[in-house]
Amino acid sequence: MRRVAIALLAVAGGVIVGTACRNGNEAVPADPLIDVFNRRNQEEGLTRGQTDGKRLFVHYCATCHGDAGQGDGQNAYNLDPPPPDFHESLKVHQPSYWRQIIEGGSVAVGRSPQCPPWGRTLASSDLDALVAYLEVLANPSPAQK
Amino acid sequence: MRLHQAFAVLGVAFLAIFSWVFFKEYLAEWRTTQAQFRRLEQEVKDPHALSLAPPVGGIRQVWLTDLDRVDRCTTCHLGVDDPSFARAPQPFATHRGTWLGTHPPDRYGCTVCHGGQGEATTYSDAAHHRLPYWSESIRAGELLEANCGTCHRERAVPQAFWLTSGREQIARDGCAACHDIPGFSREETRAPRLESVGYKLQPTWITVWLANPRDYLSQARMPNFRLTPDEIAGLSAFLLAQRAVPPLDSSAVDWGEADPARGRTLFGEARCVTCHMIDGRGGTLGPELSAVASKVRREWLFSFLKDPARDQPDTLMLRYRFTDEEIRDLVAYLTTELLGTTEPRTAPDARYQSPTLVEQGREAFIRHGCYGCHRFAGMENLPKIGPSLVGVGDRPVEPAEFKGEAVLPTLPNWLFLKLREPDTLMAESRMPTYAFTDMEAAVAVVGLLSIRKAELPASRVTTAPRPEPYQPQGAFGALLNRYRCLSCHQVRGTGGTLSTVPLDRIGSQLQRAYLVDYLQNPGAVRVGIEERMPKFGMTTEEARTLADYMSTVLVDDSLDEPFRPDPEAARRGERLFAALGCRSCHIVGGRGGYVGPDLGDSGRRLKPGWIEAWLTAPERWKPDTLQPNYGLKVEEARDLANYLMSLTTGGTGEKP
Repeated sequence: MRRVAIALLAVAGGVIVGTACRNGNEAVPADPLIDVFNRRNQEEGLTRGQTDGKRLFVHYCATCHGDAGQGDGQNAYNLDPPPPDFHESLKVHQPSYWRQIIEGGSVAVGRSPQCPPWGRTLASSDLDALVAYLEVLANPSPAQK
Repeated sequence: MRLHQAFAVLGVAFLAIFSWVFFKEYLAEWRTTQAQFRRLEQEVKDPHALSLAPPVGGIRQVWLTDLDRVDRCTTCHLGVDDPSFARAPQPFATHRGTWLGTHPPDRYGCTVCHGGQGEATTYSDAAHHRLPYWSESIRAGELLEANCGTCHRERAVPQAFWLTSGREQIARDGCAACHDIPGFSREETRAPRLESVGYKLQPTWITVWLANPRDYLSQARMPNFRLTPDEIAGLSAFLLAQRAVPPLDSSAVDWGEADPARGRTLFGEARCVTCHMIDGRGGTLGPELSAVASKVRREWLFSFLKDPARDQPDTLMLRYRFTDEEIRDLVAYLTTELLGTTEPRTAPDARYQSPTLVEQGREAFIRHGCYGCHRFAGMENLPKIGPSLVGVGDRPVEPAEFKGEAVLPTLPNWLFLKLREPDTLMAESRMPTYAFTDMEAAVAVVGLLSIRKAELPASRVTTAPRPEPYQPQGAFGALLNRYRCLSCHQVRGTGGTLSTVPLDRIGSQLQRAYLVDYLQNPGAVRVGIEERMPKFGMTTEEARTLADYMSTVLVDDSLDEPFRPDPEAARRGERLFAALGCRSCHIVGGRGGYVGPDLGDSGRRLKPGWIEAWLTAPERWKPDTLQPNYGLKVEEARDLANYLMSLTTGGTGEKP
């Protein structure tokens, strides 16, 4: 009886140890579609709200302010005073100040009337997205410079 | 005695199991979560708000009877519609953005947009991560937009950038030519009819094209069908034998007198690059012409430029008023200078005119479904050769279909791999290989995933109304047809989108005399735009007919109002113009910005009722316009209209 019990225990122990000691990891399966989007988001370095803001910026603002907000848009040379370089000028003020300009025009903060008011054209969430993108422009990472 | 013992053991076992069930229910994951939430509520809300807040306890669900769904997500996601929890950790954080305002949870639940298993009450069962037995785990980010498309069936869905891009990609690549896809039709695919193509092509070209279209043009729209050399030989023979409609007689043309330099000038004046790309510059409405010299025969090109609708009745190309000599020079330019980077070609096999080869070619033409894109007489009723994509967003996917590739066996991955390399997942696929980039394939997948199987109740679905086809008759209709205005302009939703000026109310926007001039001499209304309206060479009589019709029929009565010039109002308008900074985008008096049209000749060009309507609410007439809405009062808009109507001396039209 005792020998049978010991034999059974030995077999059980062998099975437990055997299943635990499997060699190597199985290959982690790839997820190619999600990888495409992840790669793109990594390259852009933007959150979703910032991406929405970037699209709005390129459509509404870049023609004067330039694609990267450096004041070199195709219309910038017709403006006096010309639009500033956002890499430097945005840091001087709070995001709420930028939002005031976007919503009410540059004339709303006592400047020239050259930047029009977008508050009646864009929804509040669009304005938030633009401000989020301006925060990116104010602090460009090396990837975005 | 044995029976008593058995009953005793069973009784104790039942008691143990029952206690275990109640104990497990008491320790349910969601109860712990709700307790955490109650503690969080104490911190986040002030006592008054706390006393008003409903008590939190028990499973919470939204039951959408018309969609047959039960969503219990709010059992744990307790702060999702309460702005006080904007900075709380998940699962209590408020929902991002304003989505819950437009899609309230009691009407839409959660899984309609996000996917996942709504009836679950534990984190893992809700399919936050992929479950082996639930096909649709919770979608995030770009893939989430595919779910928007389940109800939003229109082509362009606002605020769903990836879905809209995907649907436009599907339309552009003509998937509906071979597959049944709800919302897309094969008529959108623009490929030439081939009944007379034997007169058109140089024999050395067709073999290169069929082997791999991208060897001819880097941006070729036609995909690569992976044809065998036998099939290429057969198809070449078949196509070169198609000679239904001979080209117009060009035997009177003296090619020795042709002047390619003059042809190049004509090419520029006719603004061909508006639609045809050359060396990377130009539009995509028509085929790229960088290497056209190696493709077409001179006689055919002469006939085509003289009358494009002769063998292509549905062509978008208009019939210019060129003389025969002008066409001769244009053809000389196109066939001698636009060689692209072609290498010398081998002559085709001399057998290419044999009837057996032609018959083989016809069989290959039908087998590969060429008639799907290239409509062909006699093949109108042949079925589409690809499987129907109705409900493809719910297609079940087996791991075995991935043929051992180490890829997560999800539907999005299957569609992606299929689009990138159609012949890897199924050995005998007739689907051609498109040269998609990763991003193009990915957005197309997002578009495809939005095509679901379930029939939704009509109250849930939004679609764009199908436009009525616009086919005016009479003299105007004939001119519209000859000059193909609808290739670029839209009327009542029918037509092309190359021009940003729909013609629905053009008679109320522009003055008649200006229209007559403009149609004969289209100038640059806005500086710095590449696409310009071509100079058709139309006669003054034709221009007058068009302008008369537009001024009488294509009008909007709400925009017509009597106008009396008022110098005092014009002065007020001028001051307002300066105060608003309009010159930053518009040129007046030769100075100003390049964003909007030159306003210097508004007094001769525009109509006052339109100016007032436009300035009052520009986004109503053109949703994406860069013209801002200044919130002008009626009198202010009128003053500005008065001022602009007094400007008659500017304009950046082309000097004739």
